[in-house]
Amino acid sequence: MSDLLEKIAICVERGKINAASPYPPDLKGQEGADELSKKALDSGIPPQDILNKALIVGMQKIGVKFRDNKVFVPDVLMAAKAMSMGMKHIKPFFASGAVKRKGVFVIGTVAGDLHDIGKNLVSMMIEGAGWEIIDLGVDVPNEKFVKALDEHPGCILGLSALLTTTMVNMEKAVKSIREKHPTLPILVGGAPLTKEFAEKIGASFYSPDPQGAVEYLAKIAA
Amino acid sequence: MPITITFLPLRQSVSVPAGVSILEAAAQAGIALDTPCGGAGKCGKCRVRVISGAQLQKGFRLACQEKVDADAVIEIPAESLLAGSSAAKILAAGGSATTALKPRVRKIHFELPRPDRESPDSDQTRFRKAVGMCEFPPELMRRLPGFLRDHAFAGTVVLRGDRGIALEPGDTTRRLYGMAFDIGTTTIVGMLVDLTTGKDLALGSRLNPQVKYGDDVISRILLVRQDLGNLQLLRQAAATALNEIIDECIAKASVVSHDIWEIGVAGNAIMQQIFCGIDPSPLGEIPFIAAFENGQSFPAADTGLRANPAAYAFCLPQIGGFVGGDTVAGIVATRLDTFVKPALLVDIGTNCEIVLSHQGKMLATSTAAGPAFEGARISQGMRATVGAIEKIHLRNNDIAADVIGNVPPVGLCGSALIDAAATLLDLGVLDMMGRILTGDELPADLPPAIKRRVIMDNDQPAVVLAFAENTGAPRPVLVRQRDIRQLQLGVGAIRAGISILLRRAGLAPESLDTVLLAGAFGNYIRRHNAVRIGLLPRVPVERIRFIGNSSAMGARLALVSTDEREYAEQVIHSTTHIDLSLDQQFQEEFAMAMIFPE
Repeated sequence: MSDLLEKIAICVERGKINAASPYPPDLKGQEGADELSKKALDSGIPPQDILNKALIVGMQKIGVKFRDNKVFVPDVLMAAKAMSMGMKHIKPFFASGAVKRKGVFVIGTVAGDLHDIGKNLVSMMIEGAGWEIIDLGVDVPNEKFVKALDEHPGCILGLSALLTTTMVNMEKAVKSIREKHPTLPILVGGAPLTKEFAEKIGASFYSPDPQGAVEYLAKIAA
Repeated sequence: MPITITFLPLRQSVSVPAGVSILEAAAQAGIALDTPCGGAGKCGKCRVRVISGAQLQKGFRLACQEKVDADAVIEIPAESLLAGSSAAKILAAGGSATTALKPRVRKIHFELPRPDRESPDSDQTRFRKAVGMCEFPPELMRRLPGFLRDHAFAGTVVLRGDRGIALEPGDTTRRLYGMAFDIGTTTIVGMLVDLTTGKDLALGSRLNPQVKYGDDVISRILLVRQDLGNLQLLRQAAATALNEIIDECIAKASVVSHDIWEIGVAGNAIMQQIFCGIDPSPLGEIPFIAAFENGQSFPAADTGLRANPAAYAFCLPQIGGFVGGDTVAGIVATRLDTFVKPALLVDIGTNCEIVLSHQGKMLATSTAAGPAFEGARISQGMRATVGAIEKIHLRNNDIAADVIGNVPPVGLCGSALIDAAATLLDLGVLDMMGRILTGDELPADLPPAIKRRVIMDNDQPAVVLAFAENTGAPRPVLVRQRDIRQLQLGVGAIRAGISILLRRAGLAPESLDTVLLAGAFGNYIRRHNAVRIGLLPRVPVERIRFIGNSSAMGARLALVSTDEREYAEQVIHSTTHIDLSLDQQFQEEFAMAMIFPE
């Protein structure tokens, strides 16, 4: 059983989606996260274990490698795709409460900005770490962020901006959100951001890579 | 009543009587078509494509059989030209089309008959009778009587279109020069052109001084957002380099700046708008709106350019978003819209513009390639000058590096980076995800000389391209893991852009008949290596042509001919701008395109 979970973790880490996928070349023809997750469920392994002992483990490994510059964007994207294949099989168990999530994470790219690749990577990794993701998309006006916070009390918020020209919108977003939610944990990220900027605008946390966000969330959820 | 037939892609026009065949009209235009059957309509070799012409059926027709009854535009495919004819040679030569001289500015020397009691015409009428119709703006009219009487009613008038802009003593008609510039985000190139002969007299290039404010266009836009006064700062920075290039060119050609009468510029939308003194900030955020589409012109003195005080500067028309005059210039220089089969133009700079031409219609887009191809953001990257490794290849089971100037290498330029990646991929030193493999991961049969080149440098893998001991250079030249990542970013963006355009046009990469590559990598780019790393689509290398700086070529054409300028204005109407940032699939396509092909 643990052998199967280990295999699933490797599939996620290496980005092996399913048997049909040609990536990575050295695992061609082998079963991927898709087939193995289904096998695991069918053989009676609890969905909670598949999440915590396989999917999350794999995403954790790739997240650390990405932070240490051992892998690049496409590797993380492939890993996230593999993970979502596994998630697809255990998602039905979330509604029934059979699988516990760590919490709700609301995320979006600020107004005026269409970039989503960074936001998507972070979402996938945080989902891979056991959180429920509410993705508001791109070019999100402040009111939409506030509305989502009202709809999901107790959630944590993430804001992304990838253009230096839209960082000012992030500042405005944090300001208007803080008026209603002074203590809400707000994570910010995006290529032009810095720790100093995050502190200046009143955000709770900044990380240059998704793994930092995952670890921060683990800390505050504990 | 004579009719005018225009032949593409050489843009030759001829006036013929109605009723002649296209074949005869072409012959009169000096174009020899291939007619083995002697014009009997039997061999099909003289096929031409009718683009427009009231009485003619559009599409492919036999030139020997079709007769013209009204003005028409006919396109001659290369294969229909008589082999060895001069028309065939011009097309085969590649690079820019040539064009008839028709600059906006011209000079006419005059010697007017003196007025006396028998001929009491006004100065203006006397002038027009000799020189032809022309407008005198008030400043010039005020000078006219004095000028004529001070110079025995003789001199040279400078005309811009039909407007007199200056009067010069003596005969200065041989001294009419212009400058054509390509203002790139990172590199500015300029050439001095003799507008009486169409010859290029000198060339110069400089790093765009704006880079000190940011190496990409977004950071320059941000500067203007912070303070509109910074627009002038950026404008001045570029103008400084333009003037340095002018000074260098006029020194080489023994020309004075006072004889420069027209300055033409091509650049991406941000570069052009800054050049014109127009705020580029709306291009920094959704939905990325350019200020204008038609070419703009203004007095060159506005921006302190070193030219005659009455000289004008102009920029080319723009397509939309970042896709600006440099792309239009490339389309004009290559006559891209006249290609019969699908053709792709890829102009790689800090921003990469891609144009796909199919059946007379074009799709154009822009992606940020980053300055990696010009050597920036690469740890030991440099522009293609003396000391740069410009080619990497295999020799005697080892990696060999060719250096510009044959001196000890101090870095590598874009073409070498592409070579290095392709070579290392084929050797199995680089994996398709872009990771440099080390130690046990390397293929067992890797030649030892190559194996010792793979090292750890500050905790990251790297490959030594040139050992210091071997070359006498102060330090070895390495390509590092992070350099490969920069390359992946550039390749991914360009490859995704090409892919999306092909998909929008419903074309497969194999259907591309011509791929024209423009840019500033180095003297040559190994086409098979560009295909190997996925930078260019997988087409036979014979279909790929490197054409140099298509933006400068187009700017030059617009400078020497108003017909080319009009062509540029038309071209924007058959080009659709595809904004990749609004394409749902771009982000993911971009990430996946960073993976090197197998």
